Amino acid sequence: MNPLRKQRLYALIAVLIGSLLATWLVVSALSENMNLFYSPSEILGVDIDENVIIRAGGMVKQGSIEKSKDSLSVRFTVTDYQNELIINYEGILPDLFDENAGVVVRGNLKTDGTFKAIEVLAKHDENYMPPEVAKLIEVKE
Amino acid sequence: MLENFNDLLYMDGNGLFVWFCMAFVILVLSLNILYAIKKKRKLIKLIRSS
Amino acid sequence: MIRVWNVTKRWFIEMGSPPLFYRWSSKITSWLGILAIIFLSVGLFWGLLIAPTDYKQGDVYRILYVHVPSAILGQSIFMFMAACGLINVVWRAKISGMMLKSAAPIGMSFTLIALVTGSVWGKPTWGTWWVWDARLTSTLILLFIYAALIGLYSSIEDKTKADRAVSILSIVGLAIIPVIKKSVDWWQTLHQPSTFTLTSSPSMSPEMYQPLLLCVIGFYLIFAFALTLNLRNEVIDRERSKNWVKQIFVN
Repeated sequence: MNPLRKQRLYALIAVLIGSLLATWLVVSALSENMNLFYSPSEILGVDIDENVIIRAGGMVKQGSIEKSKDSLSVRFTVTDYQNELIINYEGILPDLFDENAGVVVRGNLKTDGTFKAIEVLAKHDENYMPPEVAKLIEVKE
Repeated sequence: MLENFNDLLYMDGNGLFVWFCMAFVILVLSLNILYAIKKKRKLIKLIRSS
Repeated sequence: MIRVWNVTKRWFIEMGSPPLFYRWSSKITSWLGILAIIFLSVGLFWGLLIAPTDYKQGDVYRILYVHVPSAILGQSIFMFMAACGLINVVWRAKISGMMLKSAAPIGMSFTLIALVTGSVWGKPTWGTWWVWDARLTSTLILLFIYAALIGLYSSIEDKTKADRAVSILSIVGLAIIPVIKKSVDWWQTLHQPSTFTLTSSPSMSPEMYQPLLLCVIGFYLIFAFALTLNLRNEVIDRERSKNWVKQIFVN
């Protein structure tokens, strides 16, 4: 390669490294804020004001969903398999809301340790399969 | 096939979401192609007139 | 080895000379278009009508047959553009600058498609159109980088200078790609982790990912087709005062 081209190549590589470094700095500075939600363990440890709106997320614990018969209110437990958080919510749940499925809730933490949600979002996993296959896997387990 | 056609459009109530996406994809991709064809016509005119 | 390198280099330089490129690309353009339409229609027909429904999401998961390919293309077109930028800056190859410019609107279209279809998919499954999680936000930034590249291009009059500026910006912007790719692993997001990774088998049954594969190939072909159309326009636009262009169009 002729020297001029080599020089330009090195300059470009320097530009790329600089840009990667800058991005990395921004990303690591923002890192805490880049998480969409807190897990129950993270919430349990700290003192959060009742008026602050936060997002919490985790898995819906099996058998924990209690739906009210005469209203849209629902109560369920979110777990990260270490700690749990009880969620109260009144409203329409997304289609994918289910036991053992991921969920992200937005709301505030009450002083009694329960969470009052104003929005419930369902998180879905990266697995896709036909219903028959899903049944087979369930039987095996 | 024909009686299934409505099921196909409906997709358990989510058909609107799925078909909107398909229409959007086809629209954006055809706009890209059409724009290129139009531009070519314009360029040829420009070259011929110069 | 050096001989092989020199021969390939010479071949690339020749094929990239505007008149020669214009001649050989005219033969492949329509083939690219035909192939793209075949792959896309078979892939989408298979994905939408034949592939089984998902055990959890039902039929709405079929949006992934356009969402996933366009997200892949949005990112890989950017990497392609950065490669063009590198060649343009280091070797000053004229055609690579034109290629970079021709690819930008297509890459932006695919990124827009990924965002819009993702949003439409999010409403029935997650329960919201949009959420500021790391994956969605970083993809939106990619869309803005595309817009910035196109804007920068049109703000510089001298085309050679514009090529160079856009080339450097494309290298700078390249840093967003690993952030998008790894965002679902680094942070807690609403968006699910990747179904397809290089290290493990896909977490999707074969009868579902076979049509997806066709769609991805179809999207790549559509990109190649649109790129060739744009690039041919760009070539005759920039060389329109040259004799070879006049010979083709003025008889």
